[in-house]
Amino acid sequence: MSDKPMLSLKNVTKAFYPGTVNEKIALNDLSIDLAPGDFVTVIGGNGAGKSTMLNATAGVFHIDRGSIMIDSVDITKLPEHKRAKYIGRVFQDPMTGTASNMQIEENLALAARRGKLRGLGWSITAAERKEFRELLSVLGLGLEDRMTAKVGLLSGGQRQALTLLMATLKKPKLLLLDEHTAALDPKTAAKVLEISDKLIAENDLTALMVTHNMKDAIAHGNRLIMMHEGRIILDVSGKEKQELTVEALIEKFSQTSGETFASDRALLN
Amino acid sequence: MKKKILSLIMAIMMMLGVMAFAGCDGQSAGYNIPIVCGETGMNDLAGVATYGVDYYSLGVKAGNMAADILLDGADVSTMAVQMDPNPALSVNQEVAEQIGFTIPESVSQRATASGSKKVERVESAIVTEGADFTVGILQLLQHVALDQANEGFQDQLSVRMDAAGKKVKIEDKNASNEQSNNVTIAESFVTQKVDLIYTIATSSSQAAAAATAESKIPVLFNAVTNPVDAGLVESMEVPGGNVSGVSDINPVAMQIDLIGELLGKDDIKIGLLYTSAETNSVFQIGLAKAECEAKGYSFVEKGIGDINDIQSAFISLKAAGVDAIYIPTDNVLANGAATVHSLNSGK
Amino acid sequence: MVDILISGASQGLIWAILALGVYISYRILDFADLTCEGCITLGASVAALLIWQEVHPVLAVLVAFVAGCIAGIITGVLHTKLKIPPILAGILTMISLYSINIHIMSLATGTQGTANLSLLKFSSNVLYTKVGALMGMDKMSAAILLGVVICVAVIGLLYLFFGTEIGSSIRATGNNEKMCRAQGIDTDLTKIIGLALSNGLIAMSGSLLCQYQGYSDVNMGVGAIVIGLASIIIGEAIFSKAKNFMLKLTGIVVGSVIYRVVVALVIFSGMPSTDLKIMTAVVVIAALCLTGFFNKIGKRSSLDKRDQHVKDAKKEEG
Repeated sequence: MSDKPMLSLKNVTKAFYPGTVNEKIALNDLSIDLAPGDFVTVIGGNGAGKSTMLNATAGVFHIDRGSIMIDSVDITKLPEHKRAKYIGRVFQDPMTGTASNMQIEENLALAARRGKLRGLGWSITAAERKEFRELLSVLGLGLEDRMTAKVGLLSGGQRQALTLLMATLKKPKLLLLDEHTAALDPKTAAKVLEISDKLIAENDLTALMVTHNMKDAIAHGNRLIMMHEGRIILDVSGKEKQELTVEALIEKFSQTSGETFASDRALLN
Repeated sequence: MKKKILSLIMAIMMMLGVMAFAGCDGQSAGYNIPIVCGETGMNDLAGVATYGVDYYSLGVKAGNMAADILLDGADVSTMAVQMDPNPALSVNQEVAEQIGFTIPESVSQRATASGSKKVERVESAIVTEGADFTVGILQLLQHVALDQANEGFQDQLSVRMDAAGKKVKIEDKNASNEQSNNVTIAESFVTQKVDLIYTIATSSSQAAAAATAESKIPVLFNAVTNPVDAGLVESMEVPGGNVSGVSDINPVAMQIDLIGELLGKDDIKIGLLYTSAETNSVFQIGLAKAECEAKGYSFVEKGIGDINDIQSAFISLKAAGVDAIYIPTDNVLANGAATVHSLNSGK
Repeated sequence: MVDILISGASQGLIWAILALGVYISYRILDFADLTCEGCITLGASVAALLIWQEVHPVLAVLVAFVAGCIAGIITGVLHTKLKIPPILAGILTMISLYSINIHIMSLATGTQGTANLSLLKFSSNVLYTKVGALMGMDKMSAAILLGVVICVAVIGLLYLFFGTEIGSSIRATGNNEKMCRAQGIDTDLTKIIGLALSNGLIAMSGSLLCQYQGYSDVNMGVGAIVIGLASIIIGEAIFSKAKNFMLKLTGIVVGSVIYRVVVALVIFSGMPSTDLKIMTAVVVIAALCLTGFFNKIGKRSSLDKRDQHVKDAKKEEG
């Protein structure tokens, strides 16, 4: 591994509704570096800033202070669509990651042109169709035989698997998974997580995965961070992470934040 | 919108300018020159009296033309475009008082007595079955003036048909202000092979003219101000095609004559005030000059570029010693009618 | 009676180009664009001005298309860069076009405030007369021939364009903007391109219309958006089963022709002219009901299909 971080957030601050009674500091002077190949799981209570961190990285909004670098390129000022060159994303809502009125292969073809100039060439070529068929068959969901079906006809799990494939089709420097299994039933969620692991490992990707499920957070990735009030309050990796338990995490949370863990969902899972 | 705001701002600036001018020049009383405007709308704001076109009478005129074509086989291509034979006289006592002008009783009495003379429609001459002729009427939209143009036509046509012992079927269609319907209606008349089409408003007339380019069904129009510019006729005197009709252009000659009547003398000098860039105005001024010459009135022309020139136009017209001012139907001056009056009356 | 149908069809084929333009903004881009009513007059005014200058009518149509594209770009920039909501952005361009159209027509006559530009004196330089003379046809047959040729060409080009990378990105933008940005699509740009194309077609329709009806008039766009939407809805009702994009576009042309024919029949039927508008509304409502009717029939089978897909998917996921 090189010593240059793949993702580097430096003193990032973001406030929503500034200057109003609803003002909320979502990210508070947050800094984190991800080494190439890091697969970091992110946990924290509701409103801790997990999704805000991902959205700030993806460029959904611009940050108030600080800087964001991907592979030594400063992307702080880049608009969302230009950052897509470096970043693959999967969202919590299965509807968000795909165009439901378009065919499976059309969606994949759109993703295949991420970071490229789109011109008057055909939106999909015969060679691509062949490639997509192979990639889809690896998922084991039978999608390879339904390539011209509208994505709107797919189940949530199928859509998330397709979105994952789209996010990693052009190998991104960073993969952002924003609670991408939260809307799925446990069985499907497990399947989608399995696909995520596989794609990350095969492509040797650097990834950030937000989850509400502490077990998942412990079981996946090589590093775990816990967020609270827009800051990182816990950052463990390697052996220390492998030895973590849900109970220990809850304990750590109350110690560091001085509060009991607020999210019922996290406790129940 | 923008134009309106601009002209509003200009009007305000003008008024401020007038106030300053009045303060240092002792002109607070205004110029007090009686004005006759080309159209009733502007006359209501700035003029003392004028003739306005009467759409019912125009309709009657067109009804006569239609009867001539249908009953007597008159040739449309040589039927001159006609104008209002009976324009309505209106007087504006308010403006007259403000500029200290007395409207002669002969004029004001006539104004109250005037008004269109209705023709008694012969209902029996208009039938739906077994008609000798079918006439299609294409009216652009429901509107008081246009409705009158329609009514006058039908009334007079029925009278002429009755006199000749003939029956007419009338297909009365309204485009409801959707111009796509102009074409649909005009073409449906052509496919029905009507004997004559009567159109009310410019765009309806143009659609009918285009639709009859091949069939040459006679088209008579109404409520078209400038049929030559609208491409409907070659000239007012000799239309040259299958289209003729009546124009709602203001009766310039009668309006010039009215000035003489208002002033009660023949030895007069009339100021002709208009916007030089508007061809419609230039056209009317030509008619006005011809009438002045015919009547032996002297005149002074004053063309302006925009509303800001009104002030200097007034000064030079006053200096020239005009007895009255004639303003034709003119977009710029109509928009600035309030300014014209406030300058003239000093109020 | 047949003549009425032919007359309706010849006009319907011209309005179909407008309907296709409206389809791009309303259906593909999901953008309620009101530029339309100003834009059709823009196309008509530009074409009429050029025909006054003795420019070839085909060139006049192409220039009108470009002028419409510019109007669409303005609406697009107002929306994407100045963050003005779609409807307001369209209205702002539409009302500006009112003044601009008068200026364009004034250029031809040299008279300020020309709100109506006649082409009756230039009928020999009008597309329909030219085609008629070339093919030895009357005006209406020439209009049908020309209308079919232009509609086929426009549908073919649109089909090809929406199969390209840019076209596909525009479709995706109307479907899911968030996904598009995540996939690196500049949705501001795709919206602007889509609106330019949409308004280009609308202006093109206007340029044909003015040559057909013999004039351009500043108020000729009144009601155009309703005609466009009605054509789309009728077309979709009749071609409700169409999956193929080309069939969908063809459906719109058919819808537009049906709409014009129905209006012609309503006018022809001798019902009081004041009822024209309400009858038009009834036609559109009937089309909407028809869509619902066909959908209900079609839904059962497609629901079954979908259930089967979901079941299959579950099985495999499980």
